[in-house]
Amino acid sequence: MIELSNLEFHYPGSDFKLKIDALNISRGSTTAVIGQSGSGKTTLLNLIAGILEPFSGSVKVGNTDVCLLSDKARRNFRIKDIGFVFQDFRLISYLNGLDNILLPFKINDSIQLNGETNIWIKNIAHEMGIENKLGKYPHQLSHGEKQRLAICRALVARPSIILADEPTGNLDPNNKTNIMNLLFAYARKNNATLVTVTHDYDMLKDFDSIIDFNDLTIDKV
Amino acid sequence: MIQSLYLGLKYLQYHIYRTIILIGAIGVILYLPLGLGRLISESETQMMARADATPLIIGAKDNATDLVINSIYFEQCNVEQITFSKANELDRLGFGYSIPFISVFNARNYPIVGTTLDYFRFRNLDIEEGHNLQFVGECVLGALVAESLNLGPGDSLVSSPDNFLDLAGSYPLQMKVVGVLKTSNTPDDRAVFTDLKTNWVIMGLGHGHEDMTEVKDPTLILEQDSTSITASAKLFIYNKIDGEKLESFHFHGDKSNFPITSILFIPDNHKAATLLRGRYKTDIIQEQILIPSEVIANLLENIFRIKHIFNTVFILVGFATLLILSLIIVLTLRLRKKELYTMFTIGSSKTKTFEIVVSELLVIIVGSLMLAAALYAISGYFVESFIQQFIL
Amino acid sequence: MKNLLLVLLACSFFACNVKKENKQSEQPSKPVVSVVNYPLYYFTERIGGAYIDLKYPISEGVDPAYWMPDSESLSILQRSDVLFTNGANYAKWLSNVSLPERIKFNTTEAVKDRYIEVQEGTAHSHGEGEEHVHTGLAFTTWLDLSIAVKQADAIKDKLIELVPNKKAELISNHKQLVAELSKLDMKLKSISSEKVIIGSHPVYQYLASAYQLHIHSVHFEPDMMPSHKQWHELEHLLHHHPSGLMIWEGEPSDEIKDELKKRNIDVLVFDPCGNVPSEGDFLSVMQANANSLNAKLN
Repeated sequence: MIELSNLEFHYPGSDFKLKIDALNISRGSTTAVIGQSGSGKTTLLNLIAGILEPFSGSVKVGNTDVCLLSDKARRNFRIKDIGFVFQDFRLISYLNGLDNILLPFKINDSIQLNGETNIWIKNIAHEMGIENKLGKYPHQLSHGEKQRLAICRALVARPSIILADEPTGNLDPNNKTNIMNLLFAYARKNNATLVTVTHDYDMLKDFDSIIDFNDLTIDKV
Repeated sequence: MIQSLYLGLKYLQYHIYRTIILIGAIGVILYLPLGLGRLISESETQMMARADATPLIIGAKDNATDLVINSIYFEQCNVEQITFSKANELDRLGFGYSIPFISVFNARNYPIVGTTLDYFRFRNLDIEEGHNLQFVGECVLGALVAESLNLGPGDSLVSSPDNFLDLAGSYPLQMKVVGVLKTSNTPDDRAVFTDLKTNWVIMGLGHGHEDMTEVKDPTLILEQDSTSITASAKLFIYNKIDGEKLESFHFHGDKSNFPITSILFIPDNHKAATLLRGRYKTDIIQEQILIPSEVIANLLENIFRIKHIFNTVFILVGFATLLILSLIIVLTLRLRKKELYTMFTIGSSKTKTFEIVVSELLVIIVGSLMLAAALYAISGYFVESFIQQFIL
Repeated sequence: MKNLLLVLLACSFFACNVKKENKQSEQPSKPVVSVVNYPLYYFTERIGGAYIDLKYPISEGVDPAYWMPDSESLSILQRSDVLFTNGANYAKWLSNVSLPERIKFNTTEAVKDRYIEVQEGTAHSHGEGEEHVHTGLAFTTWLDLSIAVKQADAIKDKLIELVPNKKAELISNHKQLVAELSKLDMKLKSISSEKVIIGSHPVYQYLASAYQLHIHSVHFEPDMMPSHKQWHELEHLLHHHPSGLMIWEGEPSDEIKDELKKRNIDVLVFDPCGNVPSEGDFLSVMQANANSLNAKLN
């Protein structure tokens, strides 16, 4: 369960202000976040992940108030519990496919590689259809492959929450469906919460719930 | 840390050319002051070692530095000559023994050094191949000369005439190579040694020709009466001396008046050296006596004053390098901002990011140091020959 | 050609000597002393032969003045501690070989002012070059026995430097030698004569100068019949300097003797003893020379 209550956030020196009185996303659900550009959809994801700290209010994931966690604890929370998928893939150009998937293990010591993880990696790579591309560098992959690789990276630590920021924004229609199906499949299979920012209204029907940022109480100064 | 190093190495590996250029540039910048410092100090040491190993030099009252450089490094500068008799006079004083020198000619760009066999004994120059000088017209090559000209005993080497138009003067002499010296890592490696007399032959002071009274070709004789014969220029002047020709070789005039460039004097002891030097402290004696180590020390002091300029330049270059390196790091970090932010988003700490960047820098610095050390070691290997080739 | 034969002969003889010398070199090291002619060998042997390793690589029958060492004999000479030279440009080979200056010791250095200058060969010039005559020095210095004494003095002094612990013996041996040389010198000085003598070879300059003899030389070889031109030169000389005595380095051939007899010229052998004599030694040969000279002139 993700619970946001009385949340207020604004970027210093900016006239943007996000205010959410109450928002609950239940565990295992798939949620689409829609709204105009600059409406605060990505900010919402960053607040959930603890990357941004709200000016007031709380962000609870399960029983943990993310806002009360130390920096280190927040990083560990992100690495263990959250899988990020970005519109522009955010793959590390100088790492090959496998190293990109393993990146979380290399940048945070709180998760360790073990035999089980290795099997898991093989499985998800297989599921994503990129098991033959693990030796390749990002520039050697197509957009679809890149995003599937990015999803593998997001899922490598078996997160309970997937935060996807327009994951299909750079993909062709075929790939869009494939990618979303993969994310839905993971969420359902692992009882994980999927929160996806999207502009693709055709896909909304596949989500359990939709948060429309246009309906939220958003104060703009 | 290992993971950071792994990521750092992966980054450097991916940008391998950039990394190599960076390591190369920093390595060379680190190496230059070290290498040049070593070259300078080795040159100083070697030049001084040669000078220290040469007790006294006597020559015309001309430029002291030129005289010493000509006598110990065989650098052919225009040194005024003295007569051979001076060497005999010195020997008669009983203070030690003298080794006369003449070095004015070249053979294929290597100096021809005319001296006596005492020189080889004094410098402990052993023969690697063949034998030492025996007859006029022979030469013994320094190791480097033999190697670079690919000559050995049995081959011949022609002296270069000092002036092609000087028909009445020096005739190129085809010298017979009879020996090659062992490598000594001194200027001796770069010299062609002959007997003094062979040098005098090149100078035209001695020659061999057909017996004038037994000339078969009548066109060789321009004029003949009971007491004198004038030969035409066709009369063959031998340009090599061997076998029977050796016996026909002769010198005109008194050898004691023949020229030498300097005398290397080996005093019996310190007292003898002091006494001998005392004799030269008068204007009556036309020559000067020099302690090579003093002359060279003085020369080096002047030449290597440039070392301080080098040091200043290197400090400035080092500082500029540091600035450029900082700029490169800043620009790289800016280019990698998105990548590093992704890592942060996923769950990396700023310390981890810092660790990755530092490990990359460390690899570059270690690589540069290794390159500098390798260059230093390599240059250490070549410094001797470099000094031989370009400095001594 | 003759010279070549002599050199070859010397080389072959010397090849035998080398083997002997190698064996000698195994003995405890005595200073190695070399000499360029027999008189110096004799003086050195008499003064210090027992204390040095004396080398004389020139074979019998070769004129040491015109000897040319081969590579092997030269390398032995190069290794000497001292090489006694005669000075006065004696031994032409010295000008054409490499020897350490340090080891060369001129035994007539002290009497250089007594060298006699002579003209060698014909004046000549090369093309536009200046005309020159190869002037040289007469070199049979020891025929003036007072110079020979000086040479013995020089040898003694150098040997004392080489083996200082045998100084007394060296001085004693030298004294005895000098006494004998001086006695002979006195004897030769007593043979003063106004008679003109023809020298068969220009080697008697010092003899003539020291003992007031009137010697005019031609260029005859004792074993080679002089050419028509050479006889003509002799007659030309006799025209200006009538003489009935010709002094020879060795016994001339009978044919030459007959030719000389036709010209009423008597033969006198005065061996300069430049090389090892076939019989006797330097002093006995010189003694015989003096006796013959005395007999013919008085």
